[in-house]
Amino acid sequence: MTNNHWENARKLFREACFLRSMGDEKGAIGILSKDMPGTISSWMADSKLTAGEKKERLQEMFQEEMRKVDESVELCELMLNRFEETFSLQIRSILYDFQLLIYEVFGLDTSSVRTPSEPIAPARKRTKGKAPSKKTAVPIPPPSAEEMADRLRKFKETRLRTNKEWQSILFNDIEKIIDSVLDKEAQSRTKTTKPKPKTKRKSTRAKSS
Amino acid sequence: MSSEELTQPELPSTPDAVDVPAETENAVTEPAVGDQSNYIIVGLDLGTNTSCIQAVDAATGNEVCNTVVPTIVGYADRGILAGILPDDSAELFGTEALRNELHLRISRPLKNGVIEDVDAAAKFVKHLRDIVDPGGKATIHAVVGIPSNTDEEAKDNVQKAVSGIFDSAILVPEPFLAAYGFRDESRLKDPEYVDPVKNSLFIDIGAGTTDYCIIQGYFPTPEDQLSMPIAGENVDEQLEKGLAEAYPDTRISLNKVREYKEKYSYVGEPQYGMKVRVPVGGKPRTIEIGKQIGEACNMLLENVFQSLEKVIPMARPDSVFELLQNIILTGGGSMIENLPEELQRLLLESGYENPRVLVAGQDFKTFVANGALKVAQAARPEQWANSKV
Repeated sequence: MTNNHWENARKLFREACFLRSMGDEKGAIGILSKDMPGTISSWMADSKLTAGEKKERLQEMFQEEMRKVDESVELCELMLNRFEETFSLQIRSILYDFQLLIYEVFGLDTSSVRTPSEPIAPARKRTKGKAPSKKTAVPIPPPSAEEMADRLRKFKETRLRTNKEWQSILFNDIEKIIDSVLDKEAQSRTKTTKPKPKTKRKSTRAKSS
Repeated sequence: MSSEELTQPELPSTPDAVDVPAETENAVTEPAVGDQSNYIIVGLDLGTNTSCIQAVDAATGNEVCNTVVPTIVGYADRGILAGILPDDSAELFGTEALRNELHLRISRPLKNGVIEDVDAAAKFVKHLRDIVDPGGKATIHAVVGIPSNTDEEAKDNVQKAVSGIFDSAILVPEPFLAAYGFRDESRLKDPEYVDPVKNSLFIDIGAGTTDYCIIQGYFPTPEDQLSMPIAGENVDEQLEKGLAEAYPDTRISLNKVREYKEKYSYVGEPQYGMKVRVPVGGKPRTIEIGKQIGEACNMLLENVFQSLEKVIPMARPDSVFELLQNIILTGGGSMIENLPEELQRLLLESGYENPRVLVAGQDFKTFVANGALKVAQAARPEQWANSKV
């Protein structure tokens, strides 16, 4: 049972990370705020470990997932270098946002993230098979499980307060704003047309009257 | 705050005046309408009390109209004698309906900021279209403002009201349009100018709702907005009730009450000397309404302040101090005397640091339509194609 809860927590955390990387901010926040606390509490209740050990295990799990995300970031960087010529600034902006979000979520130093407009230094290019040198450059002390939970909570609160969705639309990007309005309209049309079979609607009306 | 139609500039008097051929290549033209004689872009604010429509010729960019019209439809009484109503019309709109109120059944298509009578709203929109395009031949694409956090039914009603009248319509939240319309792009390089979309809190006190919107450089999401159903109409009701209690032998119509409010409204300490003449049993009598006006408007102030206290924490904590410096009042309610000062005082007393409440200005009736027109001008042809109504 304990193992189930533990695996669930791990899965959920990974899923949240995945959703964030896919741009589904709300989905990720939903998992972190609704699903995860319950699963972690259940695991903590079932587990026979001491409180300190529980924290340590959680910390390890978060770090492990973090490492996976870190690898993804590196992969993105690699892609950035490779496809730079093809996709130019557009793709860099997307990757930049992606990196920033991940760094922000995990409390990493975002100043090291390269802005989309910065030229890519040739030194960053890596040769095949060579281990990335970045890890040895500046060792960042891993945050504790409590710190991590606190950061996630603050991040969630900030995001909810600012309401800046993963892909915020700049005020003067009118074309994008119109697209967003039309998309929402289309979505709501689909929603409202789906569950409205004529016969059902009539019978409901008859009942209510 | 007159209820007159503020037409600026004059409306085109003949169809020819607006039927400008859309020939210019670099204009915002749609391939599908290439054979049309003209093509007009419209920004529309369909308001509870007044509506504003602004239009430009897409080909030339010339202004076609910029008009504020009371949102009123008047249906002629059955059996009315010929010659009483202008052109013996069965339906009159706006100021003309108000002028002939005695012989009409008056309908206000909107209540609390949303359409309540779809048929009347559609007729009213058709009237607005006739102002823009008397010949009825133009292709018209419109951006229409909708209140923040409008539900699906309300949106659907707007779609129905404009369907078949405009060729396509895009519905955009009003607080965004108000801010966008208020923004003066020509002054953005002026160091003295505070860009209202950078970090501001807009409070649009309309007739049906008071809308709050935090704008911090991004298109506001639904969570950035709060709509409260306490607004100008509630002031009217409270004032009507207050006057009926103070002067039980008088009967004052709601339209008259609204007129008094628009002329004398204030908040703060009671003011006196506001005297109006009302008929009592057919005889004129002068009554003092200062106290009642103050009570009704202070009720609105209190509600606006309470909601404001809910909205401010929704802003990002590190942006709040700057945000408090840019609280911008707009809508009809913003014209209430002393409102910014009193709101500022309440905020200060409540512990907020250096709040500054500004009033958008006399042009408040046009901001939403102006923003809508700017959006409409930026829309791509395929976006219009995706929003046929």
